[in-house]
Amino acid sequence: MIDSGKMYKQIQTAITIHKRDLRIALFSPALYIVTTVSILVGIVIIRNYLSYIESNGLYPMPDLFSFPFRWVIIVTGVYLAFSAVVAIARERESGTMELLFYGPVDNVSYVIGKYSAQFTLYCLLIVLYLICFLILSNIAGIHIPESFFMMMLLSLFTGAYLISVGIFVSTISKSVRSATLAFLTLIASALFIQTSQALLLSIAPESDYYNPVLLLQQLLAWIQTLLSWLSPFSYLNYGVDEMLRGNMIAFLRVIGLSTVFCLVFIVSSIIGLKIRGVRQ
Amino acid sequence: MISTRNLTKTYPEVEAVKAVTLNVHPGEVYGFLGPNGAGKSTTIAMLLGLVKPTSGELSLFGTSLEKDYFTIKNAIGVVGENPYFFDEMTAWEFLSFHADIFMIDSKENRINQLMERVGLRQYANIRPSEYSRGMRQKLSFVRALLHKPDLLILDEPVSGLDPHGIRQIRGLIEEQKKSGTTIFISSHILSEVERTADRIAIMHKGKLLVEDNLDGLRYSVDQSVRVNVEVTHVPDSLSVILSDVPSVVDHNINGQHIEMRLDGSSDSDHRAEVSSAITASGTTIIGMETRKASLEETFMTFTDDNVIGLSKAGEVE
Repeated sequence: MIDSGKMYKQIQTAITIHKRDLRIALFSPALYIVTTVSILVGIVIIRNYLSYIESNGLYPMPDLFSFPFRWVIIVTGVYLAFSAVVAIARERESGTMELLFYGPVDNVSYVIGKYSAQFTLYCLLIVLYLICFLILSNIAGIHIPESFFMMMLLSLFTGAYLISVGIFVSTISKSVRSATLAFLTLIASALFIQTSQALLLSIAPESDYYNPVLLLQQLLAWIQTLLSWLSPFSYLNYGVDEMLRGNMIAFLRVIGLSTVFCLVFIVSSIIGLKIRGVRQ
Repeated sequence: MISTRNLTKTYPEVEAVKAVTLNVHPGEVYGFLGPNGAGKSTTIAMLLGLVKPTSGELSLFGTSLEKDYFTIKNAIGVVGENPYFFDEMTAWEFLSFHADIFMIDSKENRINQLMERVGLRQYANIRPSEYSRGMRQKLSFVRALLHKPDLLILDEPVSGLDPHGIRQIRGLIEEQKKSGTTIFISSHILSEVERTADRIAIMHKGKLLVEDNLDGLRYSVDQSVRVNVEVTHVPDSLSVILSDVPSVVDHNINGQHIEMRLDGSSDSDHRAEVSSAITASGTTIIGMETRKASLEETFMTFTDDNVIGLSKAGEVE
């Protein structure tokens, strides 16, 4: 049976933590640096497209805004996931997590409060990017297609998933250092596997029988497939591609899977925090 | 108010708390003593739900954290050994945030009133990182008292404070005691506990050795009466004469001062007997006073490994 009184208190506590974290994040200079860099990356890509159109009279792709927007949200997503990774580990390291747990703060309200603050920030940035892209389209005189807005919708779900991964890494880490290390290892491993696979694919095996290159190619292909099932970035790319192809079922499936994985990581974070404890 | 039964915490390398059974009654000040590494902080962490016990039972306000987490947490105020603060917030913002966590109505009045009480009102808009150690400790107290808790858990509340700071914190503790708040105070500044505690528990190497009021503790370790005598001069024969007095357990002569422990097992007052013996040695008594063993002396007896056998009689099961 659901205890409504307990749930009310958890929600109230989560809201208080959410407000505090959001306020702290909004006063962080790093946020503005990352936002500016993201927008500049987007502008540079669009400018290159416009130069291409000017010199060739051709559109390089049907939706000019989709690719730069993807870059913008990947940069923002990684930053927010990283700040989520640091947020909890830092509180545990400095002892302020223990301070919070002296009072009526439990694992659920704490994780939800932390997560919702990061996600709200992400949503605010998406709105900011939308405004920037609308201004850019107005200046360039290029219409933003509907698919762009669909991609924006999808990015909310993949971003939510990415942040939940960051929160999970943070809850199970002992210190800021180990949390950062774990997160960077995760990203570096994904990049390494992707690069290695591309490299190995370029090598033509001399023989089909018992060739170690073939075996490695196969192994990395499996890992790559597994990663594509887990990576929020893969979901974003796959969802956008399918949506542009008009495959709305696949698009909705990506939204559904992102939501499911996001929930799985949030619940895992709550359990992880319970097991790991509030002390360093 | 607080009740534990065979509370145990075992880490891979060490058994930090061994089957601790303690009871804190409503409205009392409970002194929780022990040398460094005795297991006090681990016990407090278990009481607060910060560390999960390996075994044993624990109840607060007659219920458990598993059943009534929010009710219990709303009724407890905690001042930890290390005052933690959020670097990004001023003292007022910090307290306001905690008031929101506890859902306190008219938080502004409560914060201002408490800040005024501890003399921090004019520093409310400064970050705690710029505060002195004493100011930070007072701010921790304000935070712990914001929601008018029924139970105050204090872990080394005066550690690192100067005499002024200690006095102010003591004043706050006494105020809370008068208002009927139950106070659980862990400290190794024994004089502070001696002043305020109604009952005392002593932990040593993870075990709760004894739990009693101060007189009970004294009685369990040392039943003798301590007498200090000042004389005009010390004749050579005085030491021999005192050694022959049956009621004198031991004595120590230091200049014109004689410290003695008299047999306290019976109700008889042996002072007259001792006075006669001293006068018979040919000297004159200028002053005489009796005193009880201090908490420090009692504590040392309990926690001294060489005489640990003494404490076994008073060991709490």
